[in-house]
Amino acid sequence: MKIYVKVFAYLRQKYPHVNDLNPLELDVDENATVEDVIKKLDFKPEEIHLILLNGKKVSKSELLEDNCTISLFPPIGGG
Amino acid sequence: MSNLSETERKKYVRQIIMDNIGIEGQEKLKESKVLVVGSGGLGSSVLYYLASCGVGTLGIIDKDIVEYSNLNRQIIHFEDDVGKSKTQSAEEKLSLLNKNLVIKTYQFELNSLNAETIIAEYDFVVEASDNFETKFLVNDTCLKLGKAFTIAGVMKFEGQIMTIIPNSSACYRCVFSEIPEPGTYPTSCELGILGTVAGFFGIIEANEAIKYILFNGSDLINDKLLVNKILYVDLESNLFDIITIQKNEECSACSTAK
Repeated sequence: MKIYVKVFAYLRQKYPHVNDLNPLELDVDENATVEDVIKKLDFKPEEIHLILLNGKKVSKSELLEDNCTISLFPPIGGG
Repeated sequence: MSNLSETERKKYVRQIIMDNIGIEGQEKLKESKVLVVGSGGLGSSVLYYLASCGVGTLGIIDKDIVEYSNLNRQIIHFEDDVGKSKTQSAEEKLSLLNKNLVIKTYQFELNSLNAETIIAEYDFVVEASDNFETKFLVNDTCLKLGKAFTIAGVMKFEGQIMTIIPNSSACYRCVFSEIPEPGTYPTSCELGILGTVAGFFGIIEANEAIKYILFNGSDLINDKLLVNKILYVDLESNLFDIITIQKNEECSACSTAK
């Protein structure tokens, strides 16, 4: 199934063309979870601090649905 | 009888004439006490704007000394302040900016032993530190004491901010759960931070504090503030997102708060 992924802040160093307006399009298996996508994108689970599925906060074990959008945020703690 | 002097009425006239501030709102600002945790990139603009809008008492807590590497973004500190404590440097500027302002400084780190005593003295807390340990400590302590607060984080060209009103909103821990393991994320020392980005988020934090003081008790307060919302901004591409968030019923901080 097809899903869309947005990555934010320094996660974009790996995907510099991806932003809020230009999500990454991915093909994933049925029953895929957020964690599967994180691995597929070559991020470590601990690099992700906040996950949104269609704008709502979810955990890494959340199942994905066709045409959904996942947003991945790293920890941002500078001041 | 108003508690505002004639000079104060002149200084704040552009706010007093606003229909949703007025003399009454200006008096609320004068009577309010706000603690600013950190006088760095975020804290500098927070402090300038809270001082200049007429907040009566500002607490500043920071253990650090001014360094040259701070000066690109920490605009309350000048070159001549390098080597001086940040609290002293900030106090000197703010007392020149606003002679009516009461300033209380704490030149040490906010920690689990002193946080409750210090935060208890204030009406609102602006979390403007540069580390997750302090952000989570402020979150947990403010929830315990029932104090509203705003909390921001910045990196490179981007940042995020949310405001928490205990009992009625999602907290920082509802969203971010646990302090990330050191070493699993880069710090702003490693990736950098642009002064305008820190300043932008500091101004939003100050604006949240001002609105809380003015509109606390109003039915519309959750709509006016970044409550149950995260503002996420990428200033490299000028992308602004408001992310709706919900209270986590299993959140360890919310469930232990009063």
